[in-house]
Amino acid sequence: MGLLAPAFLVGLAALAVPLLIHLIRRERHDAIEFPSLMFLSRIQQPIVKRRRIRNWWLFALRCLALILLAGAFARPFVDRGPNALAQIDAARELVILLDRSYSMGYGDRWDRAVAAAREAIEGMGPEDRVSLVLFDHAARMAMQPTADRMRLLEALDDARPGSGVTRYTPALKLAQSTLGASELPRLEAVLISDFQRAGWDGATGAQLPAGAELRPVHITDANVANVAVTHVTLNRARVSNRERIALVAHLANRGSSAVNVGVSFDVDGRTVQTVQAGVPPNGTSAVELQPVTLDDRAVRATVRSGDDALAADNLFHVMLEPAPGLRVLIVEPPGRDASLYLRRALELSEDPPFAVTTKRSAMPTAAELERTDVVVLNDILPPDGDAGRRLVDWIRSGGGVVLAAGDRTATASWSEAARAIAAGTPDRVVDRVEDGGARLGFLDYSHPVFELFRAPRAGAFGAARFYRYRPVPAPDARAAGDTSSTGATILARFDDGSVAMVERPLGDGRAVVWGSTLDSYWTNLALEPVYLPLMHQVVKRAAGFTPARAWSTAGQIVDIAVAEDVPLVVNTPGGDRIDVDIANTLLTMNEQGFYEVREARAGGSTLREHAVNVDVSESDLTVVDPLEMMAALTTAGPDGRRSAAVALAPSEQEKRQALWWYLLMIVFVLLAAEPVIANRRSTRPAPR
Amino acid sequence: MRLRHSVQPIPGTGFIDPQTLSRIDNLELLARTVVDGFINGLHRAPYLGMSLDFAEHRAYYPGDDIRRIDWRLYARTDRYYVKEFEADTNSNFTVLLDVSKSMAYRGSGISKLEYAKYLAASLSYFSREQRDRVGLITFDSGIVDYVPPSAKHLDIVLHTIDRVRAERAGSLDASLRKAAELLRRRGLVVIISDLYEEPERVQSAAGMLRHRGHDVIVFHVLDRTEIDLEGAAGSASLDEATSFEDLETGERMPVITQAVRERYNALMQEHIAAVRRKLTEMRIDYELFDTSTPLDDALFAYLAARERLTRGTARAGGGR
Repeated sequence: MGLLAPAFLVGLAALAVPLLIHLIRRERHDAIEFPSLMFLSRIQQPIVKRRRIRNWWLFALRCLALILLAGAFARPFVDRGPNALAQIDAARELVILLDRSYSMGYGDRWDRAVAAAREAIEGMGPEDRVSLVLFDHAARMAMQPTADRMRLLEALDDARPGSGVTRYTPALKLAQSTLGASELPRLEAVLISDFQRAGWDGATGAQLPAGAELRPVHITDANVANVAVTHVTLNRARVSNRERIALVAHLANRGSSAVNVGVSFDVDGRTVQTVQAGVPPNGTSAVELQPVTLDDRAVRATVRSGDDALAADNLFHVMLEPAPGLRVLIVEPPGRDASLYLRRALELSEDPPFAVTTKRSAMPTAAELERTDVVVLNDILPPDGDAGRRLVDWIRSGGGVVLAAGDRTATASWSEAARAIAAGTPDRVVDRVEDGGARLGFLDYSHPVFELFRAPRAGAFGAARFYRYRPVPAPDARAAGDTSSTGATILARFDDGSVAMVERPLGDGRAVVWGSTLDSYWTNLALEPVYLPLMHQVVKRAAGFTPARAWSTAGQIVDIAVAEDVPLVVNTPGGDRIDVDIANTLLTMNEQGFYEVREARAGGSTLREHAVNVDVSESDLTVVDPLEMMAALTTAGPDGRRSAAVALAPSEQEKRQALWWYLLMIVFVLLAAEPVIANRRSTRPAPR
Repeated sequence: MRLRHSVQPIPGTGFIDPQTLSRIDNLELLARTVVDGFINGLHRAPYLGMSLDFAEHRAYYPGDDIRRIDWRLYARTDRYYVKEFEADTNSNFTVLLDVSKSMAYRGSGISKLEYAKYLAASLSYFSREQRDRVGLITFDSGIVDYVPPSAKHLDIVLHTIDRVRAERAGSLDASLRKAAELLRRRGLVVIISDLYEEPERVQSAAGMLRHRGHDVIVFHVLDRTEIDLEGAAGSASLDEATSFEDLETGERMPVITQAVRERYNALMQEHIAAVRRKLTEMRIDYELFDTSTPLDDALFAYLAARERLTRGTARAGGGR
């Protein structure tokens, strides 16, 4: 504590004034009239206690007022030393990072977090600038750097925990950029979070500016218990020409003790089943739920488990709707049954179901093409003329073709339509019988057709042998890394480097050309286990099939387009209404619940619904040590602290602190109260 | 010291309470109320009659009123004899009322001055009923009012009593000296005062009247608080100094009531005893009253003293 004008402390001598008032004036006021002091004056009295201060409170109030007045004129200030001075008094750039992931909804965590943020805002100095960042998997600047406390508090009041998961990196990068752009001497970030380990990935690329201080506010609970519905498995079956879906709910217990929770199953808002399920500590269990038989309409389904402190992951929403089937027309040459294996493979699929029709020798008619999604030209080529052109036009308008070039597709027979599909004429037949057959030497696992087999031992293509094959022409093949939508994509090569499979876009449609047979005539692939999924993948790819999502995860971007040029609105689970731009039908679904896509007109019907669930990785409430995070994010400045270089003169400190002003205000209040108290004391009945 | 409190009031007169009387504005009415109530309680006429009771004959001396010669006895004896009666029915009765500032002191009830006024009025009224000539002298450091004794001055006396104010310091010695000069004719003199003087000075002052042949009765009026200092400090704490201010001089001094009470009480009792002793030595009747004492006590004391004085005078062959 220092004084800028200590000479004014001489004014403390004025303390004698209230002392005299209380010792002298009191006697004048309180004298008791007595007939004669004739006898009293003859009595020797003890001297002690002859003077006593009464009204101690009034006396103390008057003395305090004088002391504070003298102190105010002496212009005091708090001298914190040259190093700590600027830390405490200099202007500060403060970024409040408030975790709004759904795990903050656990118990009263959110209330505690808001209270901590409010405390940080209310503790800001007159020259501080504070910004408020709300983050979950993404970070949003809820309030730009400002010195306006009220606006910050309003922004804080508007904040609510969301459905996202904790990711610290975006928030820390936003804090990094905000603090880095500040010219204020002190930099500070307050991270208010439950510090879930699941959200901490080392904050790759995020580091606060040198000298910036990161202050963690740990919002946590002891003995955390949480049971979550992690996902739901849908098992489809057709019964009486209707689709029946059996659901299996998977529960995970994140606590250290076994629990027995009630699981309820709601369909279209009505509870149809309630069962009890035991879940071992730190384990999982599955609950088989009542099957739902669908008609043509999609229904909402929700699985609920327990009522623990974290409610968001106790719910799991699913849209149950009939899986769209794919209509496949197989065209094969006369003679042997070249499509036996293919037909059998496709007929075994339930999701999606394939409706397979086989036609021999003749190309499909226009009517047949109209009700077909994929045409498989199994060792047969489209002829020249109308049939060929019709097929090509159909492909360009969005149709899909799988062309298998076997022994019946001699080079000489390649028509113009066939060349349009294959971008050329396949080369001669390569006979590899003598060396035991060729193998597939390259598979593009990044392509949707082979993505399914990316995992180790997911697809045993090594056992497949190709005794004969016809290398597929690929003059328009895209180079590696070319992401343009034109040109062919080589999906597989034989071990001699020749192309085994290529995908080629044609207009709005797509063609997949395969350089061997689809039965066991040239290859044993049809006898291998991978044949069935490979055929499913190839046909689905040719059809451009995208499975309907039964649910999405909060934060995912979903294309909500239903039909072209139909204006849409979306009703969110929170009750908000979003107008959708026709040109951009991608929507980020951030809320847990059901999104409703409707026509943007009065009385418009519901076109589609999307179920959105929280990411269950957030339900793991294991925490990371904040010190570990601080160590990774902060670095000391060249002199220990960045703001240490700023030193303020005593006069500047006094000016910034302005303690004299507060002292004068207190003096004013005391002096205002003094006459009230004094009058109240003096209006008491005078003793006689 | 025993106060008149211990004297049993005359039955039926207990209602003559000073606090009650203070509600009566009219002083004559007040005096009549006191006296009549007192007399009714006596069950006998307290008046000494017309003082015509024959006592004895004595020889006529030149200068005697020839109207008092017993002509029948002259006829039988051919000598002049004058009739002597039991008492003089037209004596002077004068109240000397102290109106010094100290008399204004009020403890818990009425002030000493008010009590003294009631007492003076009652005594004057009572004496007038006995056909005495009543007069009044009020004094502080000197004579304030003087109403010569007269059979017709009761109204003036009561009016004067009614308007007295205690405004100045008092001096008993000087005042009574002047009073003695004013009262040339002997009579009954009642001094009503708080006697804040040394006992010797009180004796000296009252003695001047006694030496001039007056029968003197001293009514010492004090407030209960003055006697024992109980409650003198009001609401102030007893163990801390409280400033006491002398009503007459304005002098102040801090007093720790609890510390001085015992000593003060002793001094006051000594003072009262000394005054009583000194006055008794001068054959002056002395009675002490505090302001809560019923006025009938005072009248009773007065009556007793008067009777005593009358008989004494008669035994002494007094008369004029």
